[in-house]
Amino acid sequence: MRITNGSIMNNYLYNLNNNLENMQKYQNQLSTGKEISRPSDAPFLATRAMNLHTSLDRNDQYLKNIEDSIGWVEMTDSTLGDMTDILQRVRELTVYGANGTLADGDMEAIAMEVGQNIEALAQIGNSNYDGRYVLAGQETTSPPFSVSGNMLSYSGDAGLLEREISENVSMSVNVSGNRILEGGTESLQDTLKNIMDRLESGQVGDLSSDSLARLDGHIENILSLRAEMGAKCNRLESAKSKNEAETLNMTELLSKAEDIDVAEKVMEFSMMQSVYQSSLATGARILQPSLLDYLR
Amino acid sequence: MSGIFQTFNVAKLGMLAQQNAVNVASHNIANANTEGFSRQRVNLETTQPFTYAGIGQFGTGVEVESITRTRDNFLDAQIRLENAMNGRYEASGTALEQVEMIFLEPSDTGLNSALDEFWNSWQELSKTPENSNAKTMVAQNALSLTDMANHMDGQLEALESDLTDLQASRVCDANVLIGQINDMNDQICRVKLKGLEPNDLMDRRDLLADKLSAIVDIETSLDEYGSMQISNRETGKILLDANPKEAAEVEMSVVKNASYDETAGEWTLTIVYRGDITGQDKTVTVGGASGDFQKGDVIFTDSLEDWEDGAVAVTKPLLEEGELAGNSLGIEKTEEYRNHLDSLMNGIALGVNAIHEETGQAFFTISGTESEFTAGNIRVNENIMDDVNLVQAGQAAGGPAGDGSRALAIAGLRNGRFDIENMEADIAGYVSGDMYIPSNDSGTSFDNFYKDLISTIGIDSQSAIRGAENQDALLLQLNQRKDSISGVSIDEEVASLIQYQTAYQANARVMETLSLMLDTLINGLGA
Repeated sequence: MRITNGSIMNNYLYNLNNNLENMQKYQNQLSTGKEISRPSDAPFLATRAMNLHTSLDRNDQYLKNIEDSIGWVEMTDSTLGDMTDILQRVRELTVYGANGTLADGDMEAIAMEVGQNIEALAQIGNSNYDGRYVLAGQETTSPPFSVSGNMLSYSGDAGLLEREISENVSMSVNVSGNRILEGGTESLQDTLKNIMDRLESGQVGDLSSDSLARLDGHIENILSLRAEMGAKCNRLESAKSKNEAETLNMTELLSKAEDIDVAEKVMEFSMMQSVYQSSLATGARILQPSLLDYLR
Repeated sequence: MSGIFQTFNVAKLGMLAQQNAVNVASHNIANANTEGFSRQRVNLETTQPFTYAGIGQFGTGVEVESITRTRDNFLDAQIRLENAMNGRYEASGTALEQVEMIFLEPSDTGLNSALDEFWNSWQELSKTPENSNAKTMVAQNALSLTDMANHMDGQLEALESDLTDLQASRVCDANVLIGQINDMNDQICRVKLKGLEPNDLMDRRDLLADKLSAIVDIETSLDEYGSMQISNRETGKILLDANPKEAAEVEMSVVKNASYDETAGEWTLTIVYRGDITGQDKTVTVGGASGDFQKGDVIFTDSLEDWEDGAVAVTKPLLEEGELAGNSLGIEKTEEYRNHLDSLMNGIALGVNAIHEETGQAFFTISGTESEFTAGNIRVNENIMDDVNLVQAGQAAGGPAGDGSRALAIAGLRNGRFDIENMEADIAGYVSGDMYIPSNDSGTSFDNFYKDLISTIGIDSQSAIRGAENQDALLLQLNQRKDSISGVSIDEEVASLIQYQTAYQANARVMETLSLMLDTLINGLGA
């Protein structure tokens, strides 16, 4: 083949430009730390990275949901615990009042303390989490419990608060107040009112034969609600650790998909650099001379 | 027997021939770096011999028979074909590269993350529906989503017009090149008629044809006077008649705007006549049977030089190669991506509205008079932007403050699979009490629908870039071959320079010898 000065020059420039383009590619990857900067670099990798980004982002949101839910469930649980304590105290007072040996004045004092405890029950029932009443069903903005004339009343609803904790998995995180009150054949507020009345009127027999058993039933009910909250809490905790494990996995996958291996890239870059430099050196040698240089 | 004076003539012809050859070598060296120049060669030939009875024939010297250029016409055709393919890949690659820059994925600032944030804000609202902050977040994130979609759509539209303008200017370039080749044809014919080879003019004409071939796929042929005829390869239509006085079969123009009248069954096209942006646009009407037109299309018409507005025969050539085809492809693809984006935004708007509107106002509204949502016309309802409490979070209007089930249902849309291009059908299955649009098993999620778009763009762009790279390498090879035939080698020219110089000197020596012989004859004999 006949080679001309022009073809040497063109060929040389084409290759030099290719080398420079490769240098730029590596330089870009090294300075961004990413394997790809646009979809056409590697369409499959680009959508995979986008997918992982989205999944990570969703997982972050689910983690926030789970943590909020755990807070809510724990708050509910401790509220129910406090309520149990109060009912236990009411039970002690009822047992005390039922033994039939107390003076009227003592019975009144006990009745007063039970009354105080009913107030306390309402107060605890109005506990809030982040400004929202936890036992109010969906009526989270107004206090659900109130007391008038020793009668506890509930103004919330029976609504459930649903939280999505992973894709297409949602659970309710609340216990509405009506489930606390309606724990047996007689409602909690009636049982408490009856205890008050019976203490005040000295119906000792009814206290021991009827009220105690009913009160026990309500305590049992709250305990089972606590057990439910405990189970929910466990479920949330395991969802959380699953979520965190997934995030860890996906972060690793994402890193594999889009991050460069710095050591490898630096190696490739310096190889490219020496190729580029030697092509420059070769150019200096082959482009200059012609027959003219040797005709004297 | 030949006389001394005749031999004088032989030496004189020799010197003249060598001198001419040196002139050609010097022309070659002078044009070593001239684009499109092909090396010229002097063809020397013996002059008519002289017959001397009884002895035989005496040579009478040398003459320049012709000066020819070394050129492989087959290679030229091949290079033009590959030029056209290269033009297509490069033009479409440039367009798609710009599309990629508009979408800017994968990144933390693209539409993908705006979508993520939009859905997440509904999740947050579902947890704290009492809180107007959460509603503000929903409204603001929706606004940044629609803003981004509007902006992207605007950029894509601008890209389409840019490409249409580019298309017009390339058609203009092509028409100018065709005009220049016509001028060349005229000059070349005149020289050819005298029986000479217009080497430099033919080089310049070939260079013009090479440039034209990158814009539009052409086939060239030469008539008996060496005049070049150019036709479009795909359609066979003649773009330049070999006769410089004859008009071409078709004229190339670019559609700037196309609208179709259903009742009349007629297209009205505003065309940039011959791609001349500075000239007056023409409006033509075309029957519906001529095909579908859109802006950026290249069209062939009869000459419209002295023509008034009205109906005219227009054909839309199916250009496959060349920059014009690449630009058309770029416009077509951009339009396709825009439609995809429109479907996505339409799907999201219809889905969110179906759930949201049941207890409140439409969440997304259309700006303007169109009936379907597009990426360009989607807006967040202004009433909602003014009063975020219009964002519906609960199952019932005015229901409990802590009920976030409707917000959760809207957030759940991202998990659903729908036939997004035909979202109306899926919306029809909406279960109002459950606030639930049944998933369509043959459908896809919004997230994936968008990712499909990005991967399509990536693949289209990648194949254009790779195609251009391959064509570059191929063209380099072909140009090497062309160069090896037509290129000027300085070494070679210098060598022939010395060769001719030596021959010139030798001829001069012959003359000197003859002069000495004459001296001997005249002065020596007379003494």
